[in-house]
Amino acid sequence: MGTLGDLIVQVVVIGCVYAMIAVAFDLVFASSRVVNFAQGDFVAGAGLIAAILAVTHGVPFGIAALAAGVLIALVGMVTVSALILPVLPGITQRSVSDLNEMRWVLTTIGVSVTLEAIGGMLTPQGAIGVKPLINGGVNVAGIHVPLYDIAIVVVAVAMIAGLHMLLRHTIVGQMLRAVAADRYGSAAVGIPVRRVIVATFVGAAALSALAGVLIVPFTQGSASGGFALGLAGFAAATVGGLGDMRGALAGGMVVAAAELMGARFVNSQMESVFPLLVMMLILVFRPQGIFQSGAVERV
Amino acid sequence: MPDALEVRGLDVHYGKATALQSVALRVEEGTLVAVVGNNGAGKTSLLHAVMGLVHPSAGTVRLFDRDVTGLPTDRLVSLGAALVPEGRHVFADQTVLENLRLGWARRPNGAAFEERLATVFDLFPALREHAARAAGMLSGGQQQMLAIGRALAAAPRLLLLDEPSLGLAPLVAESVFSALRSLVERGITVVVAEASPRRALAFCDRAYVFGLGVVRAEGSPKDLEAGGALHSAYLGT
Amino acid sequence: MNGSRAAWWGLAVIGVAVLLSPLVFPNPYQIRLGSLLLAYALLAVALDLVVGRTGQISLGHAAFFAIGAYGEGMLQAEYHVAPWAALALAVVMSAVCGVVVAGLAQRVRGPYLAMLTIGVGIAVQNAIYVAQPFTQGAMGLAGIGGLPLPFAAPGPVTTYYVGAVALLLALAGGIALSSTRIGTAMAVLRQRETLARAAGIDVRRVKIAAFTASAALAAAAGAFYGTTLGFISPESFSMKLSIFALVSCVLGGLGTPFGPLLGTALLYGFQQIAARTAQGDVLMFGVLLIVVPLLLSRGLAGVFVSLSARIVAALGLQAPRAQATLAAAARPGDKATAVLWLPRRDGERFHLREISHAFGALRALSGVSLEVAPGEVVGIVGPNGAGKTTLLNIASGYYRPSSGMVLLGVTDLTRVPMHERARMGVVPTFQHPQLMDASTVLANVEAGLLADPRAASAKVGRLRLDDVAADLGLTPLLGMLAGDLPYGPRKIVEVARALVSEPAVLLLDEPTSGIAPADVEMVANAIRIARERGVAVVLADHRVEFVTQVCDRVVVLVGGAQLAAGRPAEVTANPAVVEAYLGRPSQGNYA
Repeated sequence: MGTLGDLIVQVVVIGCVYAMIAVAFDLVFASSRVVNFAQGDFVAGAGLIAAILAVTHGVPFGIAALAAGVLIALVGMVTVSALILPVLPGITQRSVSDLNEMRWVLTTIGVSVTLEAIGGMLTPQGAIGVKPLINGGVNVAGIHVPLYDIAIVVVAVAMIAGLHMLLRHTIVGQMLRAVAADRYGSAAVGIPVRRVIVATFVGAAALSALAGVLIVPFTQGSASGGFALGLAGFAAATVGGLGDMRGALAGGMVVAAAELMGARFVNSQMESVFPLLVMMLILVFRPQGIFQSGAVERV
Repeated sequence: MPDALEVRGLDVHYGKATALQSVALRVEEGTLVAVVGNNGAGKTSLLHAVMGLVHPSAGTVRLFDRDVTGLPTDRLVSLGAALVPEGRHVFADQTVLENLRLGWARRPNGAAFEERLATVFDLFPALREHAARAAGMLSGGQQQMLAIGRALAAAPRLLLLDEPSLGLAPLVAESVFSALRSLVERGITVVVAEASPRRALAFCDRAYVFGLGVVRAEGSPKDLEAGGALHSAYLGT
Repeated sequence: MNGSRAAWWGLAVIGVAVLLSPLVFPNPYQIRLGSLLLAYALLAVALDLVVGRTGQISLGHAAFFAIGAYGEGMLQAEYHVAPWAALALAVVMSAVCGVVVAGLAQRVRGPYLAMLTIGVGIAVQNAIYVAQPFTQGAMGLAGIGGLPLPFAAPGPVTTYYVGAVALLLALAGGIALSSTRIGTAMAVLRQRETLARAAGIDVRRVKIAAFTASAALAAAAGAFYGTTLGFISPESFSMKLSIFALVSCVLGGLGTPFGPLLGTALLYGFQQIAARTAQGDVLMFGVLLIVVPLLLSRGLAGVFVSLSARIVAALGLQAPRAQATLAAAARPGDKATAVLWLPRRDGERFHLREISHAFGALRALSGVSLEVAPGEVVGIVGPNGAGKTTLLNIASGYYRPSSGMVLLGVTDLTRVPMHERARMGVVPTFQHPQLMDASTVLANVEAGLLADPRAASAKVGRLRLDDVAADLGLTPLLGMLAGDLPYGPRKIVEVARALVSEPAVLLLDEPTSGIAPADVEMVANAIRIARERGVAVVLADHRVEFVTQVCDRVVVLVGGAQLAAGRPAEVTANPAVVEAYLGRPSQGNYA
C-alpha cells in the first residue's frame, strides 16, 4: 500500500504523464477542433514499437525510441491527411456539419481499434517487459522516490515548458495560436491553415510517442492500455480546458489524484472509473474546464 | 503597364447559392478603386475569389498580368496581394508586433522585415506606441490600422480591404481612408470594398457598383453620383 | 408509400428466413449461434435508434445490454423471480438509466457525447466486477434459466423463437415508426435539427425518448443473450461489444430498416467463419470503421438502394427526370377543389414590442417595435449590422431578447422556444434553406405539417400540401430530391414547408439572398400567395427594390434602432434613409 507520501509521489508522476497526453489532445483540438480518439493508442503504440525493437531485436533504446517516434508521427500524418482534412469545413464555412463530425469520430475510433489490433498481433506472447533505464532512488523527507519517476516529471515539465516557448517565441507557434484563435483571419493573411493542422497533428503524435516511450517500463510494451491512457489524457485535457495547454498539468494532477485516491480510499477495483467520472462531470457541467470563464479556447 | 488586377467572367457559388455572376473588373496599377454595393451584392465574394479563399466556378483572375485563378491564399500573398478582411480579425491574444509578424510569416526577423515594420509604424504611429500590447486591447480604429499594417507587412503591390470603415466613427474612418490614399502615393494599388459608398467615392479614382452579384455600373465617382447609379443600386429607384 | 411497402415485403422475407432456419439448421449448436446472432442484431437495432435515427453517437450501449443481462440473470438465478417478470424489471431498470444518460447527453455534443457514453459503458462494466457479492464478479453468473412459453418446453429451440419474434417485432416497429409523426420527426431532426425546430418538433424530448427506448430494447436483447447462454461474465460486456454494435450499424446502413441486422449478420458470420485470432476481428472492426464512413456514406443498405435505383433506371421503368422548373402559378379559379384555409389565430396581430438585445457588450438592437396584421407584409431593411437578422431570430424564438416582448394577439411568446412557437403559428424560414437534401421535395414540405396539431389526418395534410404546392408551382418537383434542386426553388420549398402548416405569422430571413435576379419573381409570388391567405408576413432583406415591391410597410433599422417606418415609397425617399445607405454627401473632393 505505502504511505500517503508514496501516494503523493505517484499522483505527481502519473499526473505528469496524463498532462503530456492532455497536451497532445489540446494541440490537435486547438488547430482543428477535432478530438483524436486514437491519441492514447499513439502513446501505447510508440512504447510497444520501442519495446519490440529494444528487447526483442536488441536495438539500443535510444534508436528504438527514435524509430518509434518517427513511425507514430507517420501514422499521425496519414491519419490527418487522408481521414481528417477531407471532412473538415472549408475556410469560409461556419462549422462542420453533423454528418462530417460523426465521420471523423468514427474514423479516429477506427484508427484506435486498428492500432490496438495490430499491437496485439505483434505481441502474440503477451506484454514485453522493459526495465527502466535509470535505476535507484532518492530519499525525500522519508519517502523513497525512484529516480525514473523524477526523470518522467522532468521530461514532462520540460516538454510542456518547451511547447510553451515554441508557441510564444517561434513563428510556427505564432501561426498555430493564430489558427486556433481565428481561422478566417489566419487564412486571410495567407497562413497555410491546412498545413498548420497537419503539423499540429504530427507534432501531437510525436509528443505522444515521447510520452509512450517514457512510460514503457510501466505499460510493459502492451498495446491494450492505449485507449484507457487516451481517456485519462482526455479527462485531464477537459479539466484543464480542452485546447488550452496551460491547464494540462493541473488537469493531469486532478485526474491522477482522483484515480489513485479513489482507488486507495474508496474502492481499489474501480480505479479506472474515477478518471472517467471526473471527465463525465466536467463534460456535462463545466465543459470549458475548471479554469476558464467562457468558451474561448487558447493555446 | 499591365493592370494590377483583371477579373473576367467570374462566377462564384457557395454551395448552390450564387454570389457572383459574370463579373468583369479592371484595376489600373497605382490607383484606388472602390467596390461598392449593398450587402449580398458580392463584394466579399469578389475579394475571396481574388485571394484564393474560395474557388470560382468560372472565370479568371489575373494579378499583374499573371493568371492566379484558384491559387491558394499563401501563394497570392507571395505574389504581391494582401487582404484586410471584413471585421478586422486581428489575433486578439497576441501582441501588435506578433500580429504584424504574422502578416509576412516567411521571414519575420530579417532586415527587410524591419524596414517594413518601420513603414507601417510611420503610417500608423499609434501601433508603435502599443507594439507590446495584446491586440484585443486596442480600440476599433486601432485594430483596423493593425489589420492594415498586418497586410502591409507582406509588402504587397495590391492591397484589398473588405469594409475597413465598418463600426468606426466617421472621423476615424476618414483617417483610414487618408492613410489608404497615402499608400497609393507610394505606389501601392488599393481596392476597397465598402457598403456605404459616398466616403469611398470621395477618396477613390474609380468605382464599381455591385448589385445582386453583378456589376451594375462603373466609372469615375463624379459620373456615378451624377448618373443616379448609386441610388438605383441601393434603393432601387 | 412505395418505400414502406418494399420494407414490409422485405420484413416478410426476413421473417420467413428467420423462422424457418431452425428447420434447416436443426443442430442445437447452430440454433444457439442463431440465438446469439438474434441477440446481437437486436442490440444493433436498439443502437440504431440512437445513432441512426436521431444522430446521437453512443459508444456505450454494451452498458444497457449488460443491465439487461445481469438484471434478468440476477433476479432469476439469485432471487428466483419468474423469468418474464425478471426480464420486465431489467428492461425498466435499463430504461431508467437510459433516461438519466439521455438527459445528460442533451448537454453534450458530438465527440463529447461519444466520450460520455464510453465512460458510461466502462463504468457499468466495472460496476459488475465491483458488485461481486451480487453479480459474482469475474467468476460470472451461472444458472440463468430459459424463458418459458406456455405451450412449449424451455430449450434452445424455444429460446430461439422467443428471440426471433422479438427481433421481428422490433424490425416491424422500426418500419411502422417511419410512418408515424414521431418517426417523421426523427427523420427530420436527424438531417436538419434547425428544420426540426422550425417544424414544431421538440428535439430534446424526441432524442431523450429515442435513447430511453433504445436502452430498454438493448436490455431486452441482453436478457435474451443471458438466457440463451445460461451463463454470463463481465468480459462479454466490454467496449468491444459497443464497437461491434456500432460497426454493424455503420456497415449495414445507419437509419435504414434492415441495415443493423444486415451488418450484424455479416460481421458475426465473418467472425465465426474467418477470424481465427482474437485480434483478427478487432482489426476488421477498426478497418471497417475507417473505410465505411469514407466510402459508403449510407452503408451497404445505401449501396443496395442505389444499385436497385440504377437497375430500375436501366430497365426503363422509371419516369424521365422532371425539369427543375416551377409550373406556372395556378390562377385562383383553376382549382378543382376549393381547399378551406383556416387561419390559425384569426385576426390576431403579431407584435414585437420594444425589443432590445445585446450579445455581451455588443448592443444589437435598441427598443425596436413592429406590428403586423394578418394579410400584411412588413419588410425590414437596413445596412449591414443593423440588426435585421437578430430581430427575426427573436421573432422566431431562436433568441430570447434581453428586453422587450413578443406577442401574438394577447399571448406572450417572449419566453416560448422556437418549436413551441411554430406550433402556435409563428413559423420561420432561414437565409440558408434548411432542407433535407436526401429526401424528396414532398417529404420536405410534409415536414411542415408536423407544426400544425390540427393536421393529424394524413388526408387533410395531403390536400393542403397539394394545394400549397400548386400555388407555388412546386407540383412537378414533388418527386425530386431536395439536394438536386437549384437554389431558387430551394427557397420556395422552404416557404411551402412553412405555409403548409397554415401559420399565423411567416418569418422570412433574406429570402432573395444568393438567388439569381431572374428567380426573384418566384419569391415575390410566394409572398403574395402567403398574403392572400391571410398570413402576417415579416421579412428582412438587402434588396431594397424587392422589399419596396412586395411589402405594404417598410421599417429601416440602422445600428440596431429604428430610423424610419412607413410605406415603401415614403421610406426610400426619406433623406435620412438615403444618407444611412449612401453616406453623407461629400464636400465635393472627388479625386
